[in-house]
Amino acid sequence: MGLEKQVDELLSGQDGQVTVKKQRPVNLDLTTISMPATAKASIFHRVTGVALFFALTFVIWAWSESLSSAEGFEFVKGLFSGFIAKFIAWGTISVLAYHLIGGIRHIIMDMGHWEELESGNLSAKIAMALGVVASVLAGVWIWC
Amino acid sequence: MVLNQATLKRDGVQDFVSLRTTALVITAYAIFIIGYFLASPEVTYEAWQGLFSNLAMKGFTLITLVCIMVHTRIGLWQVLTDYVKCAKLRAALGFVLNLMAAAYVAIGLIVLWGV
Repeated sequence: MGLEKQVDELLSGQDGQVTVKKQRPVNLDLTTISMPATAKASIFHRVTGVALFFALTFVIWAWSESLSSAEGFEFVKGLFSGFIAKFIAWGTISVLAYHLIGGIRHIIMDMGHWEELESGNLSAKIAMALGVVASVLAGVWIWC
Repeated sequence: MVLNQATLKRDGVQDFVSLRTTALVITAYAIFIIGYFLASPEVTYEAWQGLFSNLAMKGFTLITLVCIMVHTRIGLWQVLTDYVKCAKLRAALGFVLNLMAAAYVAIGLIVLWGV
């Protein structure tokens, strides 16, 4: 209770006005929260960012091995005739593509565009659609 | 009173600028590498080794890896502080992830040194 009182005092402005009301409903049940396009675009940006970080382990390993010697290069090249290496490469490129598109959208938003409800939702939908297109193109590139 | 400048803590503006400037470098590198593969139908060991023995390419690669370390340090911190509520677990995860990012840079330097 002592801490709570201290916080209350900190939240009170110099004029004695409390600026934050504590009795607010809190809803953190994600399954009951509606996810508009902007929310989906945001969470995909985070998920793809984390995925990219771990994908780098494979990328840096393959890069290091391919530069170690001619044999190492042929070994990594040989891996790419199999499904697993192709799938990891496709996943990495797809995730990178969406993260990049989302990042470009963020920088455009930093400049003051697409900040309204309608334009924000539209740009989020377009970003996700472009991500899917890039993912399909990457698949065609790797498998065809 | 301790001034902000006297502490080792980052501030929001610094994070904001760092995140975006590093993103630009990483984007340029990613586009360059994908462009390289698209432009060369058959990559040989000689060509691949020749690319990374170029001093400019070594510099570009190392700078990009450092940028990835700075970028992920901020980005993963944002994700961890939002979803991992337990402070000890968050600190442990942050430590491991930042160590991984530092390892990417160290390994990159060693590989580039030998090419």
